[in-house]
Amino acid sequence: MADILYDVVIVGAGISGAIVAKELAQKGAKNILVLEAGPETPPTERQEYLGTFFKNTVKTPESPYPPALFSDPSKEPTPRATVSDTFSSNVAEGWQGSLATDGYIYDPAQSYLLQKGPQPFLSTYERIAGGTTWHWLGTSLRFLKNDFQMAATYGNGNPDYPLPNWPLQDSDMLHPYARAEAEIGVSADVKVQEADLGGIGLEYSEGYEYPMQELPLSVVDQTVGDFVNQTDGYYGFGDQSIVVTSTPAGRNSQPYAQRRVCAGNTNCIPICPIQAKYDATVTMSTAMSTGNVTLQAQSVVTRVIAESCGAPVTGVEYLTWKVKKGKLQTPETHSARAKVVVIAAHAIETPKLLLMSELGDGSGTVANSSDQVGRNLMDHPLYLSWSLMNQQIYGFRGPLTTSGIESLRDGEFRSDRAAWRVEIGNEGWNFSNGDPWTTTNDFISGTNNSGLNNQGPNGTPERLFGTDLVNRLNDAFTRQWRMGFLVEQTPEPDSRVRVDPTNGLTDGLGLPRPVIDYKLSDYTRMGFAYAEIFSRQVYKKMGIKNHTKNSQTVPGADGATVSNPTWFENPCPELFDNLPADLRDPDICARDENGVPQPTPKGFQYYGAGHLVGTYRMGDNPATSVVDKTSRSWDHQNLFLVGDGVFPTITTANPTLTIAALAFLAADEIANVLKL
Amino acid sequence: MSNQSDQIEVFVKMSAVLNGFAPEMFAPSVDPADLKTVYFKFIIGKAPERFHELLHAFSEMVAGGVSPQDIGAMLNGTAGGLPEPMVNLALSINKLWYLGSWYDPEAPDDPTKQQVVSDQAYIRGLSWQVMQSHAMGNSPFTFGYWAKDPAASLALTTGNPAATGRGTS
Repeated sequence: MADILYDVVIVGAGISGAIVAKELAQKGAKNILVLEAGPETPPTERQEYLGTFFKNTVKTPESPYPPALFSDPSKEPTPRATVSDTFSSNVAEGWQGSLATDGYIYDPAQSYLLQKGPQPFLSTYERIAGGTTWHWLGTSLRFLKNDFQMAATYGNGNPDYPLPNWPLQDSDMLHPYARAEAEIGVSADVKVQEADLGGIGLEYSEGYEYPMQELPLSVVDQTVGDFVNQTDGYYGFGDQSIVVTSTPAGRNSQPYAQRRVCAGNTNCIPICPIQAKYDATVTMSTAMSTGNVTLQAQSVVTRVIAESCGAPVTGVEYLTWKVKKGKLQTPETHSARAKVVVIAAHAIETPKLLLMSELGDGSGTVANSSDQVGRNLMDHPLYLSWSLMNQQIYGFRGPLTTSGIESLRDGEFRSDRAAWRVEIGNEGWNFSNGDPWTTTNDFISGTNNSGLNNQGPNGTPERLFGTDLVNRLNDAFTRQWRMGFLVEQTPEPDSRVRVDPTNGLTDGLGLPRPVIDYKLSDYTRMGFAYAEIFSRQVYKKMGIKNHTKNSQTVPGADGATVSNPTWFENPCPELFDNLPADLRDPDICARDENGVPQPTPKGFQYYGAGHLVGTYRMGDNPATSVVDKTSRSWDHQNLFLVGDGVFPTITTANPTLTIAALAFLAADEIANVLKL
Repeated sequence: MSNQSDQIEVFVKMSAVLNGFAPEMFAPSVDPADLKTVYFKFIIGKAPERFHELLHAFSEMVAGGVSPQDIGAMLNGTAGGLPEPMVNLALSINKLWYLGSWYDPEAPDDPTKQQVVSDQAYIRGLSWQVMQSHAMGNSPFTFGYWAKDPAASLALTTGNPAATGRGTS
């Protein structure tokens, strides 16, 4: 292939790579090569993946997809982060002390990511054609006006204010968002969105309509809304209105793009069985139907080639891999020349690749004159809060989520602490408690891991069978619900992806594995404190108990009890000490690991949202950013770094819609470069 | 107990005592997946002698006129009378019906010893029925069903007239 000069080589067949490929192919680029690290797609891909999911004992977001969970990352050609890497039993006693030396939070024999903390990064991704959109939720929220201009709006001239401006304004994004919504196929109602969020900066072009009507609210949503909707504010939230809003979603409410209508499989994560939810294979199929795009799987790019900072990139080097009779064969080395190179391997694999790519003149690595490559890794650290409604609300039905509380995504408080949106789940305590497995086991075995089996004498657990078992399980499952607070995390230069060949830890191809440094700032942590205060007011209105657990310790490896790596100290205990008495009622407070309510919490536990953001940020200044507003490298005029890594801030919106919108902007600029 | 079909019939009756569903709901006569036979053979493969002892003990109790409620309490160990390993097997059988997963009777908390018997076992787990829904990833319903309460009552879903839809709380 070295003889061919491609118009474009794209690294990664996820949503960004697919949109760029499709746009350029349709505009007339004649030879586009897409190199996908992951395995060849099975002929009956969805059924095969679905079957793997059904039979997996662990139903995590990655469970349907290769490589298999619990496989050894040092032997796999394309290992990736999985939720099962971070199960607490993987954590050794004394893990904190080992971080300063050669230790990691999670055992490298299980965890592909080499986590140096002090907090673990909990989000994951897929390395297959279609990328992580195979297991995305489908939530397709636009950013708000102020999300793009945080320093200008809330920084008050403070040079230490943690959230920078984007090099784009919301007005620049109206058309790209519309293109992304058309490509993904988003179901929502502009009038509903504007009524609830117009006041905090949600905008559309005049006369705009979403591609499809909104999805109906679930019984859970309707019931929550009946209790919580209020226009005159909650304690701690000024006079901002609180309202449950239907969530714009990348799932079909009517037949769209030759795909079916959502049947409410309650399985958007990890896999929609009927492709009613968009994934990037849809866009890649369109791209390939032009005849201008070649997708080559099992091709792992190892170097982006450039002679020096300021020189154009000339192509990429990559390895192809094969497995024969269960054994990984010696990989073959290849190269491909291109007029334009696009890296679309998200916020972890993209910086890893760039940091592996030495410039020909030995002066550093590709695209990194700013020293920002790999830095500012972000997620939406998630605060889960769960409870039992007094009446039956029938969760575990419908899409995993159909609504959220969006009206607190912006406000003056962003000067001081993180904003969040509240996702309302339709999956009972599946995410929070591992149900139906945990509670079913409890009531059959007489254990109480769920906290629900406490109605025996003196609150002891009972062992049930027959009609009692049916009634008690029905009672529990049909009343379960949860909120998930997606907290805006600040970018931190020291939260980063690194490569460190000296640690000797590689994947099955001999390539270095990402080292992750990660921490949550006080600004971010204060978002958790206010999430807990908000939850209490919701439960108070409903007259129900808070069942949330923030576990400071968890069972670890070899039967030890260890400090929970996903728990952090309450950043402001006095905030809780000074709450009105009714907001310190133990019934509405989150609990510790022993189930004891905490009016003043010792700390909070966080989860990953699956939102990998930052690490090659866009900006106006080449000294402090990696790419410009078109995702074009400041250092190499024909290198584009697309995807979630370009976000300077994560905001409170799930990122995929914005990823897609920015990929359209990048594709427009690449078309200019290629004079298409 | 003589032949296998007789034993499977006993297995189904014992399972109904444990899981609280009518046999026609979890082991219907027309059943392409034939979970009762799949499970019967699966358990034989795991604990042949103890399984036969358990079925025998159940048959003896039925023949002795013991009430289903008292039988269930003995099977799940709340009433005493059966050896602990037999009780543990009964608990694993109940979880198998509810979750489609096998939990080792002697090490139910060991994740390395858990196993999903088949995709149909997962899909037809009674936990999904008891919540008046469907297996996650296998909805038989149509667009928008989630906006209304379930059409079928719990009694209808379970075939158990005493299933009232609420627990004792």
